[in-house]
Amino acid sequence: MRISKSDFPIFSNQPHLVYLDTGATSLKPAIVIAKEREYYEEYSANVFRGIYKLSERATEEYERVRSIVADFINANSSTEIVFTRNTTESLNLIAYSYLLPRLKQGDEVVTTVMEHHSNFVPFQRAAQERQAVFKVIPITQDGTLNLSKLDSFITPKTKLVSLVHVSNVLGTVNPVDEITARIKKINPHTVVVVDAAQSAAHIPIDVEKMGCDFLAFSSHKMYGPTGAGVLWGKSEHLEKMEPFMTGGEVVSEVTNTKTTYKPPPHRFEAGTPHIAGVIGVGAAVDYINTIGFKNIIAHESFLTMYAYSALKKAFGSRIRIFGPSAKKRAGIIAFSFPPYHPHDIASILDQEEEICIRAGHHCAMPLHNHLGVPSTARVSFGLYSTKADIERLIKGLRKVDNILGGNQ
Amino acid sequence: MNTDTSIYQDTILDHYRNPRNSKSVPALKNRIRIINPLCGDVIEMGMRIHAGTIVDIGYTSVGCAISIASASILTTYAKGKKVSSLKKMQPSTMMKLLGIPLSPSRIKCGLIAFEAFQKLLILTDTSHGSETKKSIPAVRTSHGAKL
Repeated sequence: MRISKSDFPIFSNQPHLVYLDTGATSLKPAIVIAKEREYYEEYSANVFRGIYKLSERATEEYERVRSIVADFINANSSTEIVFTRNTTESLNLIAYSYLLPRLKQGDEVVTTVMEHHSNFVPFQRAAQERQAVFKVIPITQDGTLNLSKLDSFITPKTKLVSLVHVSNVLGTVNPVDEITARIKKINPHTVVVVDAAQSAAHIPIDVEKMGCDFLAFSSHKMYGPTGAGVLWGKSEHLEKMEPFMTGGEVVSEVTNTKTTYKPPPHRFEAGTPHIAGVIGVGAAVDYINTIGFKNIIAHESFLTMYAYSALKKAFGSRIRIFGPSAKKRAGIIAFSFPPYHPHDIASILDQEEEICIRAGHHCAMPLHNHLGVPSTARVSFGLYSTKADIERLIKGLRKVDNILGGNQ
Repeated sequence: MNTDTSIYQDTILDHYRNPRNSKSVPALKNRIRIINPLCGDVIEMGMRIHAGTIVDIGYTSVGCAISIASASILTTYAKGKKVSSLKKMQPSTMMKLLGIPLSPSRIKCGLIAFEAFQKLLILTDTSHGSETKKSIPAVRTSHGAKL
C-alpha cells in the first residue's frame, strides 16, 4: 500500500496544513477513526463482564488487539501486553509496581540525560523515596550516549536502567540491543526499561531481540487514538508485581478482610479501559503493517536527509541542529536559529504558512540544560509528511528572518 | 505580511528591533530579575524613584520578540508616572498596551515584563518619598500570570 496524505481526513478539512509535529502526536488515518467510531455506533458495551452479545463482541475486539500488539513487538505472549493511558502511565506503573517495592537504600537507578521527563522523573522520585543513588548517563558532542562510561555506571547495585529508544529532541537512535546486552553482562539482575514512544511508529520493535525487561509506547504517536498506551513486560516480572491501581477488573476475589488479584495482564488494568481507543490501536497497527516498515523507513529517512540538507543549504551556520548527522537520526530535528526565539519561530510559521512545529524544552529539561539552551524549535515527520512540507518550512523560516530580522 | 490577526504588528516589531529603555540595570538602585524556566526568557528590570515618580527605568532582557517588545512598551508607559497610580495597574492594561491578539500559549510572553514590574513596585519602599536601595536575587516566575 502506498503512503498517502489522503489516508488522513484532516487534510480535507485543513488543505493548507503543514504538520511537522508528529513527535507530539500523530495525525489519524480514516481507518483508525472509523474503527473507533464503529465501536461507539455498533457495539458500545463494556468489556469483560457482560453476558450479552454486544459485550462479548467488545471484549473479543479488545482482546484481539492485545494479540495484535504482542505480534507487533514480537512479545512471547499477549499476556505480556498491558493497556495503559500512555507511555507516561506505563513508565509510572513500572516505577510504582516493579521498582519501589524492590528498591533499597544504597541501590542504584540509572537513566540518561536525553530522556523525556516521563522516563526520568518517576525513577528519580523512586530513588529519592528509597534513598537510592540516581545516575544519569551523559551524551557526547553529537548527541549519542556516552557508552564508554557505561561500565562505570552499571554496578552490582544497579536495580534498573531506563533508556529511550529514539530521543524526542535529538533524533538519536540508541542501539538498545547492544546496550542491554552490555548491561546484562555487567549485572544480569539489572532490569532494563525501554521508552519506545518515538520509535514504535518508525522502527520495527522486537522485544526478544532487544533483550529488555519492559517497554512502553503510546497509541497516539503511532497513528492511533489518544488515551491508550502499552506496557510490555516479561511474564517473569509481571507475575511477581503487585497491581498499580486497584478496584474493579483487577481482582479475583474481594471480602471484607482480604482481596486477591487476577494474573497479568488484567491485574494492571483497573477500571473500565479506553475500549474504543484500544480497538483503534489495533487498526493503527494494521495500518502500519500494511504500509510496512521498509517503506516507512525509506520515506522518513529521505525526508530527514532532505530537511537536514535544506536547512543547512538555506541558512548555513546560522541554523544549529542538535544531535547526530542526518544519516544517523530518526525523523526528528530540533534546532535553534539565533537570534530568533523558538516561540517566535513557531508563531510566525503558524501565522504565515500554517506550519505546526513545537517550541520549548520538549519535556526534556535536563537535556536542554546540558545543551546550554533553554528551548529549541523542533520538526518531526510522519507518514503524511512530504518534501513539499519541508520546502514550505524553509519558506516559512525565511519569513521569520524577514519579519523579525529585516532580512530578505 | 502583517494582518490584523498577526501578533507581529509594526509597533511590536519596532519595539523588538529598537527596544526603548534597554540598558544596564546595576546602575539603577532598585532591581529585580525574573526567569521563566519553561522557555528561558530572562528579564532584569530596575528603576529609580524620586518623590513617588519613576524618573528612570530600564531592563536587560533575553527572550522572545513579544517579551522584549512588551518590556520596551511597558517601561515607556511607566516612565515619568507616579508609583501610586502604577501600583493599581492590571494585566489587562498591559494587554491593551500591547494591542495584539495573544493566544493562551503566548500570554506569558506578553506579561513577563509586567510581572517583573509588579514585583519591583512591591519591593520598592516609597513611604518616605525617597529612594531606597534594594536589590533582589533572581526570582522564578510561576507558570503563567493570572489575568
